[in-house]
Amino acid sequence: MQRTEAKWIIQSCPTDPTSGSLQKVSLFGDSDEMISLAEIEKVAVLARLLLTPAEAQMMTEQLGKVLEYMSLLNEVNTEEVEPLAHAVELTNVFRDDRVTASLDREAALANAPHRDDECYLVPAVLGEV
Amino acid sequence: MSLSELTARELLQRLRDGEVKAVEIVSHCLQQVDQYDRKVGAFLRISRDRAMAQAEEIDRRRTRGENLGKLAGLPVAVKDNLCTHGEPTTCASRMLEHFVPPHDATVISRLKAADAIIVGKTNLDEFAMGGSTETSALGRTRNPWDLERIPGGSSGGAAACVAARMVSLSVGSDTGGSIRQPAALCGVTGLKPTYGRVSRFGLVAFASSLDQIGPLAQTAEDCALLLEVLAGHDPKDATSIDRPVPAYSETVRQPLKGLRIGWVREHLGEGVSPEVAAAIQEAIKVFQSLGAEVEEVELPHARYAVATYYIIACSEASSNLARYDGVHYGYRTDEKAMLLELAEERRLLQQQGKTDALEDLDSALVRMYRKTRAEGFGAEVKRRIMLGTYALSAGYYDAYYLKALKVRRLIRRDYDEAFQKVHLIVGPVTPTPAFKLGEKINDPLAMYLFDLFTVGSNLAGLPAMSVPCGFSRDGMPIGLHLQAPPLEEELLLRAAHMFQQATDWHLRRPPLLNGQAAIA
Repeated sequence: MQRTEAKWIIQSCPTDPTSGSLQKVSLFGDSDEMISLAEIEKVAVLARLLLTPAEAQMMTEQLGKVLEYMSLLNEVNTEEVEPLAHAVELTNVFRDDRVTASLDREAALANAPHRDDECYLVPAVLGEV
Repeated sequence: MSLSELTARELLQRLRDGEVKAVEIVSHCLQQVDQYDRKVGAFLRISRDRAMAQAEEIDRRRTRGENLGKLAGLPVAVKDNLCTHGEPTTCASRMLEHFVPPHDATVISRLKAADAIIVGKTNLDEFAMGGSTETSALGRTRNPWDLERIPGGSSGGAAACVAARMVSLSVGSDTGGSIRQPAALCGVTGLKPTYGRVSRFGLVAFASSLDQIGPLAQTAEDCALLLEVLAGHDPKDATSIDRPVPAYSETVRQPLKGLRIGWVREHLGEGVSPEVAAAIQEAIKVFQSLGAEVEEVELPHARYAVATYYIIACSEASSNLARYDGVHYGYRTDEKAMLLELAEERRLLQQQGKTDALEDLDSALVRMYRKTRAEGFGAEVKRRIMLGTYALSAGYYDAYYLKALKVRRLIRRDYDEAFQKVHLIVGPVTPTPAFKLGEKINDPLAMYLFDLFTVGSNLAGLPAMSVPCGFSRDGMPIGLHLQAPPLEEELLLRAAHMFQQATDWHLRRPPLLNGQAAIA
């Protein structure tokens, strides 16, 4: 019952107001899918995530569906509309250039998963492992 | 009368009159937690001993006649994405399961300065990403009105602990409805302030241009009391607004004359359950009977709000959550196992002579980041990081992120125009009452669309409230959404209080608490 209701909501926000159902409007190229498995893999690298094959497959389907819904924005005319990045458009918020105490080293290192007495430790960055 | 039937305001009066002591209130609160939280699961942690010690201290100071803060002796619950110095702040994520912040969030400092007693940290969707509290990696929260249903989210624990009368005051955060939606689904009152009204310093960031901290309580009066403590300028948050904080707790009782309220046709049409629509129409009649004028207003871009919101929120999230790298704090993958795995991958690729793949193979550091994040984040957080990374990536930035920012301005303009005609816009908080646990968890889009009515005020930065306004046939609460122009929290609270003087929906208690029928 609830499931049908959810679908109903989707259908009440159609991209084509006459059809009453979601319409495929691809923003990028003619490809049938909104996002491909290869693109998902690429984005995972950019996002510093590691997906199992099953996760990547599911992500492709789920994000495809969400991106398809987002193409709803195509129908809005935004010519000459300034982007709004912050609802309260404050500019030039200054403070006095005064030196104050910063976080104590021990407090800063306290939550580090791997550390020595004064530094965070990470795997070797240069050269072969 | 049991202490748990009293509002914060009533408790404070009794404390001042010496009729009750803080230790009695805190121990009653802990008793309620013991009795009901095993079923409800609102809290991730309770600070039993510290809370009792603090209560004793408040009582001693009161006996000595010292000046006490505005919330002296009152138990307050805090959502676990607000940093508490020296006490774990997990965001309900494996990533931060053992994170102990080196500082207090500004709202925590303010609560402490007001002599409030922070009794515990409440459950949420992981990093506040979700609308059902089901994405929490650390616990399951249930709706006190029906334990088989979601409490809403992301501040699900924050709403459930008020609904189950464990505390009278609770602090949540709202990025796309995360205070108002669980408040509606649990039958409590919740307020998302104007963006910038409350400092975000120490709130673990999800989407920084949308996040806002606010109160949940049984009544609008109690929300006013708590907001008065939380609000105010903070040099540590450059987006916080430098304006005096009105005396919300005093003005909330002043009735409004000549109130004009607006409603939006689409909010009561298709996709909204008939029970919810009927409850909202009844609520509008209540306002009319109180002298308000009602007229229809239009928000032509409201139908784009969910798409706009998820592009912006996920983009900001992907950037904010880049900090979880397994280096500075939080979870880190097992380094030895990771290095072995990587060496084995390299060996295989060499054996197969796949030189291109060898070149693309992660460095040890990058693999450490990736494995750490793969293991530390849950499915919904990963989904949003992926969406945001995609929307911000080269080639797609203009089509998604920039487009969404432009539509965001159109959404804001709609509100500005509507508020030329009316003082408040009323409607439903959610399209249906609380759904069953597990029902939408595998359908992200359905879950996102449930936010249809709440995300607009975050995109526009407006203050908005959820006020109990009825029940469905199967006894689930329904919330009335009130939206106001920027910095009009007083107006919101006064309107909500007027409504609560004329109705008693906010006083109903879940059957769990008394074994009586919810709707008498």
